Amino acid sequence: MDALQWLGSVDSDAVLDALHEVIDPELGVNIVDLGLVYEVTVGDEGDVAIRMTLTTPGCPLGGYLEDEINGCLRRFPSVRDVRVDLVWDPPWQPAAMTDEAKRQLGWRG
Amino acid sequence: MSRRPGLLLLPAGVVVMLFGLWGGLARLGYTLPADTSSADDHGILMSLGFLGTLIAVERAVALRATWAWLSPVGSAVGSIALVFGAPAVLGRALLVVGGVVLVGVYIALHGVQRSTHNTLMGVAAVGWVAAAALWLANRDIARLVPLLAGFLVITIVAERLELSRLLQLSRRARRTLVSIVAVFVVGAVVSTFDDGVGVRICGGAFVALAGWLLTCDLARRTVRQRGVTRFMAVGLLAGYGWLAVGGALWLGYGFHVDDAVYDAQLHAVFLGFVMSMVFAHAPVIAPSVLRRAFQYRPVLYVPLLLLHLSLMVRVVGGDALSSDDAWQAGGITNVVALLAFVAGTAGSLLFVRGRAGAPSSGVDSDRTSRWRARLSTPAAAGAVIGIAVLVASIAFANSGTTATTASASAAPAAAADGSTTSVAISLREMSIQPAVVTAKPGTKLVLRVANDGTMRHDLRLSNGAHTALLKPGQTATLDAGVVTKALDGWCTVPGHRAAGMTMRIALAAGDATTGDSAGGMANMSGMTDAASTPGPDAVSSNLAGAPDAGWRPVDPTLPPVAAGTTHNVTWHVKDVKMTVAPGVTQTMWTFDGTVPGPALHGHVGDVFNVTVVNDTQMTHNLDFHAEEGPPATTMTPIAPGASHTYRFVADRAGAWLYHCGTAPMLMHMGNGMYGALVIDPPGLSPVARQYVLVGSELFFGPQGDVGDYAKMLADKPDAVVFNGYPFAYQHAPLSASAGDRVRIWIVDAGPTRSMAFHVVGEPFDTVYLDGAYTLRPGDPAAGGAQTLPVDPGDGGFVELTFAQPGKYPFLTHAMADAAIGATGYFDVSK
Repeated sequence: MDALQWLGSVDSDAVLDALHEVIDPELGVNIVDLGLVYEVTVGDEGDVAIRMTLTTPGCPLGGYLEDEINGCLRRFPSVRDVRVDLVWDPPWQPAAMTDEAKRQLGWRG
Repeated sequence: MSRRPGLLLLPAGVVVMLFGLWGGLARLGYTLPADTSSADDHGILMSLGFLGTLIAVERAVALRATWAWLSPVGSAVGSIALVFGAPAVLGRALLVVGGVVLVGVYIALHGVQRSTHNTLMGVAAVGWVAAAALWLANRDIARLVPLLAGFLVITIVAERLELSRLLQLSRRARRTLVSIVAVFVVGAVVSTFDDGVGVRICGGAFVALAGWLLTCDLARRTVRQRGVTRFMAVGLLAGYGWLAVGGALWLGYGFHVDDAVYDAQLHAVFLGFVMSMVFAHAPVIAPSVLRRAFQYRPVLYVPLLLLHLSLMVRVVGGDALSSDDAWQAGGITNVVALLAFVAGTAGSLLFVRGRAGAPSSGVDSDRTSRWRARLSTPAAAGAVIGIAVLVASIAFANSGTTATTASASAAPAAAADGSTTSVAISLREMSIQPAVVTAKPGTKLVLRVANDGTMRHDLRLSNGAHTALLKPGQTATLDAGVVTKALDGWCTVPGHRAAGMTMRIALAAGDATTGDSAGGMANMSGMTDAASTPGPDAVSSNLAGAPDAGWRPVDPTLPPVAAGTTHNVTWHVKDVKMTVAPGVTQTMWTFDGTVPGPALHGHVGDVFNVTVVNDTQMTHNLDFHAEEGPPATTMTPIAPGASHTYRFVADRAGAWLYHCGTAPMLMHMGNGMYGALVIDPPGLSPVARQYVLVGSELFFGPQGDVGDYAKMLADKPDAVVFNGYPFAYQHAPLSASAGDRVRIWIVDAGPTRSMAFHVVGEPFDTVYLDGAYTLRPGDPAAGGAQTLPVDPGDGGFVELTFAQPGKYPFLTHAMADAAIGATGYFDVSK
């Protein structure tokens, strides 16, 4: 096991992994499988920056999801700061969903 | 942080909701210590005030721009201003501002990312603006319903369209949804000028929308999830069901058939559908707007279930099966469900432990036990309180008599001299008995008010004390307070005061006694609520004098039969201030703005669809003498702001009278609501000219006011007229040519006097009355005819040929009537 992770340090994969627990309450599907998370970067100081979108800019869930993300990442001792940037370019597309999300939403084939 | 205003505005929206519900309770017949404005404005407070604020907050949160908050501020502040009695113009204008800013928010969102659903939400917001603007222009709220529904329903549907992208749906399915919304928009636009048709189009669109949502919406998938996701889906699906019910009622009935249908039509859509959507979304929207942790708890199903069950009780038991108890119990439980839900949601937000971002989804089943541990907290408490209120309220509703509270300005606790007098008051169509109650100054007066009529009535006194709106058979006790001055009393149902539902509490030296009731109708004042006594009746110094500037005669020419065998016309019933004699202006009640109303002309077998839109504050209806069927169903009353299409087949030829048959009928007919319906007998010979003259009497009330009912009762007309104006065709003679055959249709609208139509200098050679020719041309030696006698409510025609050119007077040969206006001329040319 990587010594750094043992000490509670994280990399972007670990963050992305954790974000699977942040669930869009209306859909019951997590934001990673929905394809809402575009980029996760983890700085040396433990600053996490998440670039993500919402299915539409008229959606008021931005603040709610931000709070959920904060809460979810706080369990990593080495995470010092979480910044969520909502971006609209590129726009979200249904194609961005993973197969798992599509399965949960009843897609076939 | 731009989200902060939500902390203030969501509670403000809830406050508006509380006032809206308060008004709703008043509409359910409960007497509440409040003025009537929140009852009158109930629909707007709930739709634009409460839900408008909610939706606007949601979008302001999404856009993250400070100016966007002007939208919810406009609707919340505007609504609260209205509730607290600020000038209506101010509150309504603020609602317009709120809507306009919301449209701006959608335009800004369009700049961020274009999408069909955002465009649809923008269209919905335009519906808000249109409804608020028309309300600002004093349009009746009942006529704004399709626009208000459009704002809410399209907003919701657009949201579902957005989420449908997450589903594997065909492009066609999505296009179908947009097309249905387009049909709805057409219906809503049409409803602004013809709500009979518009409402049905909207209803059809609702049914289609419900069908689409029930088969294609995401909720069908997510209902299989767990926790809050399933809760939302259940709320959504139940709402879709109500949309189908509401849509079917809109489609099947149009609007304003009767109170019960209307109640069901509105509450299926606004409570069953819209409120269920709100319930479903609140667990997600509230925390994101307020940025507070929220613990979803299954107990939220309690208010959701309560909402749907109570609505079923209201619609099925109350509206469909006509049980007043079910209607009231269902209605008040609707309120309880809303309150319980708000209490539960607010409790969860205020008292939940833990940080923002606490787990809220039901996917992680490990957490279920922890939820259960927290069940004892406020959500449960809210529900328990709600149910307690429910039980109390059902007992209250079933007690049959509602308690009464006088407004704060009235009713000191005890009488100066300690004596209390109780008087029974009876409300009925259209009088209050006794019309005068005399009370000794210092007496504490209590009125035991019973609605003995067949419609809803209330009693309001000029000191502010009032009863609730009472249903037929219902009673109330009204504390009039200690009598120190004379008071006026009246029924506040639109039109009822003007129609005679007035009373007076007079001061007397002796004990309180009751006077006789003769004054009821004589008090008839105009359409205003002013308590002033009417001035003296207007007088025309010369009935035959030059008409006032701007007067134009009613065109006496019989309009030709329109093409086709089905005749569709739309009339607006309007109060029109018009000159009715030289120097005399009266507020006439009219069919489509004229006295008499428009002449209808058709052939035997033709179908007439006459849509009547009631633009007045009073109930009216239409009685075609040529139709068949029980008056209660064929002559449907039209509530203020409503419309109705009367359909009949003209099976019988004749010169028929049509008129308003609403009580008091003498008043409605004496004040202008009548006209002629001409159905040609088969084989009618062609003539050079056809005229139609409607005879009637005029009874001048005070200048600018409505007619004098006492004169109508006494058969003392100020003028007897052809086509609405004394000596009209002396000023504008009818023309004819010598040698040409002229047919004159005569209908006598009365209300009381018969006519003996006569043309001076030219006997008739053809007379037709009541389906028979009493004289045919061709055999003068066998006889001629000198008058056409027409009784009130009857009609016929005569034909003649003027042998020589010249001026030929025509008149009713009842000479006293001819002298006060029922006289005109034919101007016969070569």
